[in-house]
Amino acid sequence: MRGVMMVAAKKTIWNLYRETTGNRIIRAVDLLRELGAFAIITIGVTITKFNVASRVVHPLIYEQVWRAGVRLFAMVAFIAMALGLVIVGQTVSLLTRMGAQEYIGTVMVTVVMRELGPLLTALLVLARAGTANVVELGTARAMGEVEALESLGIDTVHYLVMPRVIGLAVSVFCLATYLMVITFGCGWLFAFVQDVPLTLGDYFGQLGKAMRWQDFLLFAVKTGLFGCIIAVVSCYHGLARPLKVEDVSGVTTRAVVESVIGCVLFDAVFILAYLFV
Amino acid sequence: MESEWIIELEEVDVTHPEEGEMMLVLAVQWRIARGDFWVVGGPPGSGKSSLLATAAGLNRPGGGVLRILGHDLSEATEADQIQWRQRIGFMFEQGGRLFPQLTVAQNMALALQYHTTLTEDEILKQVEDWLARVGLSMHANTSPARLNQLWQQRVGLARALMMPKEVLFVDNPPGGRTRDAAWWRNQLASLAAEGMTVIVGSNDFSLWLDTAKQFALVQDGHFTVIGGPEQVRAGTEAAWREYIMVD
Repeated sequence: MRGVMMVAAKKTIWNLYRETTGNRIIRAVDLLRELGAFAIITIGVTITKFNVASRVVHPLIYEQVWRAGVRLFAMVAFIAMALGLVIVGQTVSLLTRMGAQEYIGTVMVTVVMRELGPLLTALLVLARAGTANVVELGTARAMGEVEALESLGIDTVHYLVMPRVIGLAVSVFCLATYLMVITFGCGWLFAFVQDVPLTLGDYFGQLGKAMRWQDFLLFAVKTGLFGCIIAVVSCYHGLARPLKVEDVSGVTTRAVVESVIGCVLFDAVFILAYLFV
Repeated sequence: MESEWIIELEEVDVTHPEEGEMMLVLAVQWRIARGDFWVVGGPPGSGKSSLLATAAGLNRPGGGVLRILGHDLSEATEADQIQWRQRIGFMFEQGGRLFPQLTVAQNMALALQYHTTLTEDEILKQVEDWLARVGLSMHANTSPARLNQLWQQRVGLARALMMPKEVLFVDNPPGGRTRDAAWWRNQLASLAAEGMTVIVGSNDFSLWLDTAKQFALVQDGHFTVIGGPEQVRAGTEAAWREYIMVD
């Protein structure tokens, strides 16, 4: 009897495991498929309709650049200064003390330009603009504004999603560039305060030597792609279903988590690109 | 050549707009000809609004065949649908679903700016004309949120008609014996006289007895064509008369 009960318990645990894990995998695959389809539709609309109704849609792109980019500049500058003073300055100081001054450029370019700059900027934009997108679009959907746009013959992806995708891609690229420049500048400032025997010319000379043209290209592609990922994921979650007040926090959290996972996964792909290019 | 029917529903199942599996009205048989003036009544929550949105091509039907302007919706691409929607106006119930981030004038100008190459001055002229027609000239630069619901609906009507339309759906205009109800009746009668096909969702038949040509009822998941004003006046079915305010 006891044996039968143990077998039954094992079966129940196995079924539970299979159901929960299996369901999660199926849900993840479904989500990936839906996000992929949404991204393809958005790319299609962006390519075919970029100049359609430009007097309506282009100002929306500028508005997104203003909201996700320009208004975030102060925050990015603050983070960049902290990053420069705390990490870069100390690294420069340490490398100089160890007599490894010639590696400063390589370390800085690898850490700040290739990895930390794009990813940190993407996270800041996600926290500020990505979450706002989910709430705005979810509310618009719940209030029937999306249906109202459709009734006017206005393509909702063109009007609501495309400006956000382009706006966020441009914003992440520009902000990451500012972050990189300010971080490098503050890094030298910290080293200067610490009496590190390194002139400004030598410092930027080393950085310049460590940068290849591929770095600039991959930096632009990577930051643009991070912006697109954040915009597509947040717009998808905002438009997928009308949000009730109690849904907002859950959906926003999901969008943030998925955006972070997306950015990190693509970051891994870029690491491979850096290895082979 | 386009069919004489401007909109045809054959055995169409109307679903809930957000919960697609929830059927609201089953097997709707409804043909709307050019120049028709329909009033669709029914108790609150019966699915009138969803039926109107489905007939306008805004909601996907759960089953059956829906032809809009002679084209089968199931075979239409997104681009086709966008094209047809420019010929069909839809005034939504309650606040007209205006865009809160735009002013009244911007709400009205949006479709013209999006679809046409008219200059901003020409668009402004049309907006001013329509604002005058709906009696809201003073509120061009007002946020829709500052207007009361009755005025928001008027802006919704003007926004729906900014582009030349062949069909107009009006969901739940003000009813009863108010001045606003009379205003809506006169406006829609005048649009119908200009040759527009008008479909109104209302639970007040009495207001439309002198204006509309056909009446239908949505109740208990079924769509029933009642007939003309004479049939409504002569109707004795207590089951629907309790919901519809008929003189």
